[in-house]
Amino acid sequence: MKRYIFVFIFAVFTTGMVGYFALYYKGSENTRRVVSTPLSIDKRDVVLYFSSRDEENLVPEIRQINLKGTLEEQVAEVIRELINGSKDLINTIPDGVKVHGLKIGRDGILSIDFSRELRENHPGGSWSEMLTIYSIVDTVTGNFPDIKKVKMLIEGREIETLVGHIDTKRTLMEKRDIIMDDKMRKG
Amino acid sequence: MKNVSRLFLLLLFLQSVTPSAYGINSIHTGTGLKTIVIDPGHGGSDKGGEGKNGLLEKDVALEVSLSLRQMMLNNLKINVVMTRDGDYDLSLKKRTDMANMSKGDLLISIHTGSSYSRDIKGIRIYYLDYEEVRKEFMVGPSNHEAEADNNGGGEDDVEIILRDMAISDFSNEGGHVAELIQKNLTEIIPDQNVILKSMPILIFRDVNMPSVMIEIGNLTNQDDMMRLKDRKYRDKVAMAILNAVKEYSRVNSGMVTR
Repeated sequence: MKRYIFVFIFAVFTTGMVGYFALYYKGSENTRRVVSTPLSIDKRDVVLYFSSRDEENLVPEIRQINLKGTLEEQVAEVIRELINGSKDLINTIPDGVKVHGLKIGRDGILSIDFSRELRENHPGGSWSEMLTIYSIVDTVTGNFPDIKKVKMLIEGREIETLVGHIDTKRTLMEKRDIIMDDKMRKG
Repeated sequence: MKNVSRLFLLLLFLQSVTPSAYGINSIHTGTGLKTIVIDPGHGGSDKGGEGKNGLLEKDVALEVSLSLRQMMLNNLKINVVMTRDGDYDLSLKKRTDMANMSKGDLLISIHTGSSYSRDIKGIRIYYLDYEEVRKEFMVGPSNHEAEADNNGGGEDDVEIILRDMAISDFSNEGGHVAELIQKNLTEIIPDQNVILKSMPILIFRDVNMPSVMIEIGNLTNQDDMMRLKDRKYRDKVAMAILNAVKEYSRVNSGMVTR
């Protein structure tokens, strides 16, 4: 009888231990998965769009940028590079512009809140407005396939237009026919 | 298959529908140009572009628009509607509402240009970019109003197709007027560069008529700025637009020149 009780206690103990280790292993695997995911640091080629010197088209400029953190942080970094401008091409974002914040919502809609300088320091003119808007839209949609549309805000508010001509109340999709690629440049 | 038969039925239905709701009747039935809407850009607190010498886009646009209006009244049997005739704020919504309520047959929007670089000069003429607007309509509702309106019914499909047809027509007609203005400007001001482009301009998209926008020179360029100050240059621009409208009217037989 004593032997049966001993076997029974041993079986319960063994089952308990196996169960405990199984759960522990599963848990540690989960923990490891989380811990083993590094903060995504990725030096990669990014395509920024600036204006051609004749201000007729957007022209791609490739730069190597360290992209780290969340998707939103990476997008913010790329927009900062765009704002910093180009040495060879015409900048499409006026001086003094800052990004107050950005958010990627459902359906891949990126909302970007710019400071008032985007409007106040803009030269005006409908084609310049086109170049500013689509340098932003084409840069973010081109580098981040998850972003399908862009909504531009100024000082947290929706804007009918940036400087009077192009509809920015709607969300904006990429516009590739405004881009002049290498082939076109070489004629 | 269901979609194909649905589309076929829609097309059959469309053949029996007159798209007068979008104002394209007047262009094709030979009733001609009766009303032209002139829209001077900006105004009031919205100065538009600004030249180094303090010349403002809103003022140049208004002066050229008023001259053009007078030339049209003197030379054509036609109604001319101005979206603004003084220096005051006017939203784009009010401009399009005025144009649509007046049942205009053509909208001419007058602006000046500005560029990032001070070297860029010339006149730019814009007309409706059909592909860009179509993309927006066909991809689906892209703004809040459209989302609210979209109840997924067949009537929406009919409306979208009708609107698509109207936009295509406005784009073609606007492109035609833009080419005529380019030709006449080049004749009257041969030493000025005149560029033609299609654009998804907000006011174009919301008016029920063909439309063009003319940036009559670049305020950020020294040469253009001096020209824009000159009354003779501004009158030449107005004259070229008038001549283009006269030519356009010949294919729209209803309008008679004085």
